[in-house]
Amino acid sequence: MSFISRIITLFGLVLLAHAGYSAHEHTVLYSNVHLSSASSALPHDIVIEALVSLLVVSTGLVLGAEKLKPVSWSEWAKEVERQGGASNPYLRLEERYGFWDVRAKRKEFTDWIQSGTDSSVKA
Amino acid sequence: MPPTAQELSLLINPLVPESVQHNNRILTQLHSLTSFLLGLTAGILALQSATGFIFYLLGTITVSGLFHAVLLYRSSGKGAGGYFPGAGGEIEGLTFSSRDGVVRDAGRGVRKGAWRDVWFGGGVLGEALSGFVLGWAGVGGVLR
Repeated sequence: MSFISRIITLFGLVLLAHAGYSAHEHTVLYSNVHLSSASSALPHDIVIEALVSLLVVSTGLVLGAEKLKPVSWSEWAKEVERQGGASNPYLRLEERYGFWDVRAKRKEFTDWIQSGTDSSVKA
Repeated sequence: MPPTAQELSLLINPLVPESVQHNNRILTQLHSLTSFLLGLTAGILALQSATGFIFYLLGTITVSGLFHAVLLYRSSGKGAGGYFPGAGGEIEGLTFSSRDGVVRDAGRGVRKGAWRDVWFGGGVLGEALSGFVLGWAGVGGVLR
């Protein structure tokens, strides 16, 4: 999608540049003409080229615009949940430890106390 | 005092400020870019005074229409209501009793008047217009 839109935008810009250059050439050519019959108005093909290129560039830019995010909280939360990972600002609240294992902690503490007193006595 | 429709809407279905900012930024970028290109084209076409501003108006309407069409297509018919807050974030189709504030129908989560953000938002009459005038005057000066 983005590749196609870029190609369209580039093509439109080239067309626009060509139209601009053509307009420049036209003014240069007709600035020295003193014939009253020659009108200095821009030829139709340049006008059409400029308008078409503008349409093409706008189409490319609109297609290539970044994706919009839903503004409603529910829709947004749905997307965030689906994506998962760091995009969820409430990850810290949603993924928390389960119950604290009191017995294991108590045992760990007892072991540490015993080893600590032993080592200090030895030292 | 019973709550207003806007207060109720924001309570039932809150807005995400981050998303609102993101969407507005994208719209502003699009409008400033396209209006500069509109200015270049206006300069190439050698438009003058009111004609140029009418050209800007028509071009902006075209770009907004394209944007809205793409938005409608991508959101499968939901439209701008899901992406822009509109008039203070009020939900469309919210019905509640004004006496005690009991909600009868909470709508489909589409914001009321969000199309206005797409068509008049994004700095169309501010920054984008100045970009247009810059491109218009610049190209007009170089070519003639």
